[in-house]
Amino acid sequence: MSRAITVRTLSVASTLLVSSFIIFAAMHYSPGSSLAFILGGGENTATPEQVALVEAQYGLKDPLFLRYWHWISGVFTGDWGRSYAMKEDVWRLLGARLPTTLGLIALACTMSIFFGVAVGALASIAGRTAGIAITAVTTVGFATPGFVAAIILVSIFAVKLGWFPALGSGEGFIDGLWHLILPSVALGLTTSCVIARITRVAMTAELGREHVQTAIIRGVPKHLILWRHVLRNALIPIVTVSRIAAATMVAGTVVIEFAFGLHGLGTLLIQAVQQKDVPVVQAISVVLVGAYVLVNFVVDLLYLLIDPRVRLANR
Amino acid sequence: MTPQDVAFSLARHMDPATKSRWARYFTNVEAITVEGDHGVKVKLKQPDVMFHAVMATLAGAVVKKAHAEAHQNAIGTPQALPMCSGPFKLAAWNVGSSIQLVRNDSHWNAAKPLSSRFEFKFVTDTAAQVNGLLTGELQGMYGPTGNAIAGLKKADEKGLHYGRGFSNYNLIPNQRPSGAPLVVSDKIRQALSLAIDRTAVARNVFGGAALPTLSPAPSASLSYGGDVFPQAIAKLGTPKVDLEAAKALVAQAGPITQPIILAYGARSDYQLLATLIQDAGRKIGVPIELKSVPYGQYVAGFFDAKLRDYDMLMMTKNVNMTEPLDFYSVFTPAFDALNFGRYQNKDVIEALANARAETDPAARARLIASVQDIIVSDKAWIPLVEFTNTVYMHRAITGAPASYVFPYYPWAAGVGAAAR
Repeated sequence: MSRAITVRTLSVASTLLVSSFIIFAAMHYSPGSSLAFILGGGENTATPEQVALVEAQYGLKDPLFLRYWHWISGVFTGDWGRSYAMKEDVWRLLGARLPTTLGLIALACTMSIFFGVAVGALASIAGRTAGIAITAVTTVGFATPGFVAAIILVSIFAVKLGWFPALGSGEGFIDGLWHLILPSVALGLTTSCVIARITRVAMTAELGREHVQTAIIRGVPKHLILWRHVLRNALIPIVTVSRIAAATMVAGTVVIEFAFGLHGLGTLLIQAVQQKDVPVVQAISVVLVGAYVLVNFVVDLLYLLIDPRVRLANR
Repeated sequence: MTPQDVAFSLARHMDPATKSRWARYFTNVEAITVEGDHGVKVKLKQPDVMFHAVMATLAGAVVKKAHAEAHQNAIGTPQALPMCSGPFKLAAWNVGSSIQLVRNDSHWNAAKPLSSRFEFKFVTDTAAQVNGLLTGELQGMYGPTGNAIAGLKKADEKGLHYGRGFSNYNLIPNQRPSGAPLVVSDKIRQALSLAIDRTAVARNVFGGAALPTLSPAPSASLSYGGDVFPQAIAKLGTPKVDLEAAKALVAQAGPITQPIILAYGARSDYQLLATLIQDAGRKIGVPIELKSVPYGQYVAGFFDAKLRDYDMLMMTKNVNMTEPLDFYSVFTPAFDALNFGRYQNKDVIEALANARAETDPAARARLIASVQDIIVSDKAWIPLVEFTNTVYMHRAITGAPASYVFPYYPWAAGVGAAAR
């Protein structure tokens, strides 16, 4: 067991190290410059001497490996650097934005899994007409990009009806949650429709299997059959799809945060990439890659819980 | 605040290590000395009419000497929070998302701010800005983009207020990093200027909050000297499209071997503008290729010649004072970082140097009008529109000035709740 943990930890560490280098190199070679943002002026008034001073101070002209070494050795001593553009410690920048992004993803995941499974289960046991109607609705939902959903949701529920706030992250937990509802719906819409359709297909397949048919013939109560024999066996494909969906949500949050004026990691990342703000981009990428690895780890554990075959194979 | 702090703050702009963006206004300063308990004397090497005016901008802002020396390079960053003696105090700085101010009850001015709290929120997306303003989550905004103005006009036109602007939007030739001669020759520039429909640009790109113009300097800066400037403006005529004259100029320019590359910052309004210019070129046989650059990197290009690998760009140029010299100095060596096309004219440089030292308004105006004649006929830059200064106020508030004083003056103290 301890060996498994060691292997796992080492693989996570090397994933983070390699990905951080690849991203660093990409930033190093991508066109553009961070000079304007370090100097921080809306107007171009820097003299060549000022430019040279800044380039030396930030090591902008250093070769790739030297720059990466400066960064990584800082990380190991706990100094992740300071944002070029905002002149603030990167973890303070990230710390202020992490709750928004994590809350958004968590809420969108929860809502889309809950509604997806519920709607999919309903479609599999409902009659033919209801099934077709649900399929039609989920097809439209699946084909609606997050930013389109954002525009429609805001114009109806925020501007017209005034039920939800149109932008910002709010203050405090309850208000913060309130501000995240519309963005979460926009972010989770596609995913919940995918989950609904997978659930429907998986449950319909399970419903036709012999042990289920036998249980029905023997007069086992319907809710027990659905719960113990159908949904449980259908969970494996549902969890697999949810894993992929959660990963795409990490990317999707960038667009949604922008549309709702939320200050999360996504908007910060876009801005930092545009400004070639290396310390910020590096820290966010490490967080995102870390989150991705973590989601995979949790899903692997879930498999153990759900599927006895996986448990046996690991013994 | 002491005279020592004032002298220190002014001298700070002259220290290269400060990397001050205002340093170019201090080139004629010889000495800054404290005079008595309440005076500071600035001695100039030669008369400089811009120095007086620039004192009303951030160049004249005072920082405590002890504060600046204690924090050195950290000054102005979140590590050394700003020291304030204004009508508001800083309550919180959420870096990159918002700034919160509270009323400073010990301010020297008896007229206290009307609002006890003031918050500035950073919202970058146009749609999010408009939705925030319409739902009252944001109560006011300076300088909305053309798209935002169009959206606000439709929903709540009464909230929009317009004042005189101090910025022009220009189409500017650029010399490539290779140093090759300009692709956009003077004849082509004159032809493009005749072919671009500025009225359409003002209406469609800037939401109607802009005026078509042929004047390189913002007209609000042409504010003195009797009837010299009114005559100079009248001489420019009104902007109108003349495709036949433009085609004749293109024919004179000779064959065009490669398309002109026009760069723009990737934003939907600028994309529309670039397309309108491309279309104007197509009508007169000038092939223009568009190059979309991520907005942040487009701005970075203003600083770094190596990034400007294209032939034309577009930029807002504002003036910091009611003094057209602040615009035309772009074509002099001291201010030339924005002179992307490396335009050089001996007469222009000489007249501007004389104007900067000319204290008689009418004489100075005549010198500047002579510069305007040359810049306009050479089309060193192609002026497109002049911005009006736009402010939106939600019906719950009032008092934000519509004029372009907002970067220079503590206007927030005068903003309060509107009467019902």
